[in-house]
Amino acid sequence: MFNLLFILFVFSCKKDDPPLTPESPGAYENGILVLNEGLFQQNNSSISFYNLANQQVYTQCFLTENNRGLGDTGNDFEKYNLNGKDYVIIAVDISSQIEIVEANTLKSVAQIPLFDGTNAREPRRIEVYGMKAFVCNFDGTVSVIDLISNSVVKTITVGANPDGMVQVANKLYVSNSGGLNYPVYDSTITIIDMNTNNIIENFETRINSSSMIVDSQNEIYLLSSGNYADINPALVRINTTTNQVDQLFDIPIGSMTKVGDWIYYYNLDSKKVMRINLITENLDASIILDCADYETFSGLQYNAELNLLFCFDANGYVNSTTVRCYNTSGVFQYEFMAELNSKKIICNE
Amino acid sequence: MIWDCCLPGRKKEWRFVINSSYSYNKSLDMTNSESTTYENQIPYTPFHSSTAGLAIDWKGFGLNTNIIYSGFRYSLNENSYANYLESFTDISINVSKKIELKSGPIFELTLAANNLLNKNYEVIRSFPMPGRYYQFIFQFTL
Repeated sequence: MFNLLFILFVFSCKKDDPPLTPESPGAYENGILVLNEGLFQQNNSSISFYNLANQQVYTQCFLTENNRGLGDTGNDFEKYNLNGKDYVIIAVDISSQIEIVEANTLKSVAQIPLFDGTNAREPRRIEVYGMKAFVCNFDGTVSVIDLISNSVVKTITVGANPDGMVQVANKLYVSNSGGLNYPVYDSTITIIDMNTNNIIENFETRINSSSMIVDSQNEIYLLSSGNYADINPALVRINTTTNQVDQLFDIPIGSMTKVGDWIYYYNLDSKKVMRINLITENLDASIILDCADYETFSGLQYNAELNLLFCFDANGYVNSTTVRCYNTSGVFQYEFMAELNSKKIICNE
Repeated sequence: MIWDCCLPGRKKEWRFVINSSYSYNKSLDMTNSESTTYENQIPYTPFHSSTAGLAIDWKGFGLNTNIIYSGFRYSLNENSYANYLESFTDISINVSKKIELKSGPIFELTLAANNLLNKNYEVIRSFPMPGRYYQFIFQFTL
């Protein structure tokens, strides 16, 4: 009996092996970095790397290079150049940290905690302007980070729960969503002068404003998410000379990205990717992508360096995300598996 | 597969109990063969888990040893390194002395050393269990 048990034990051990420890590719070159949000309060945000030369995916890259996890809910990352070297700045929302790593090694350079006393500020989005990074925090502030000393030089109070930023010349437009103030959402935009770090003005737009795109004519296209009840989501066109709403597109947009003089957006109702011309303001009737076979469409992003469109399928939000890549006409190129809830990509040469 | 045994014994003033259990439990996600997690091990269910214990009692003195083993597990559906929780063994030991007074009350004094291997482990992800720690317990029963 004991012998039989022992044999069964050994046999089963061989079959059910634990997973292998992730490998480091050495240098993160000629490939795509993917920021994975992980799950809220599960402390499992991560960075994956897809090597374009051999189509291999490397997982848990931040952990592998730094012997610690990225933290909870990495929301945004941006690449910038300082003295000829590329860096990536990452906003980790729930951990309330800004992480700065070398772009080609992912080795940590700085970790900047963002707290108001003991309250987490919750950094959400990053815009890099010269040698400064502007980080909007969900506690209603924008932190100005000096990228030479890697320290916070100023904290600017804006509206409630800012969730989007764009740059128009030296002006930073911050959209205040008021996302935590249901049912009375915020509907304002705060303009900050990025040279002086001072607020220029606030103005009203439309309820629950989030992500923004600025076109070549300096017009802002703002996604207003509505109130999830009687006010539908819509796209709002803002004139940045008068700071007034010029036009409203009544489209249920889930996410959007700028592709040259076009906005490519995901229509929540039809589950298709369509586009709007930013110069003529015309809606193109052609269907770029039909995403009906996506399990959970969770975002799209255009990468100008590769001239390709990346779409994320979150596979029910609890499994790894499939990243699918298309050209700008919607022709499928390749796909790979990243990790839990992929949010954004950066291309490394 | 489950194996469970309990062996009580007695000799003069010595009393002892030996128990041990082992289970091999293959719980896989078979919901959808198209799913990326098809045939993946279900969260928080190890293939192997085992316990063993020895309790000795002599004239009111007691010695208790407990060993718990859990094989590796995953914290989410996907059997990936990111969701991986290591296997762990927890060994705890305690000695006690019981004094029964003729008038009725019972005093019991226990000295316990828990997690003797000082193993860092998590039963639930991100909730680390204590390392080696000691307990002094005094019980008084009317």
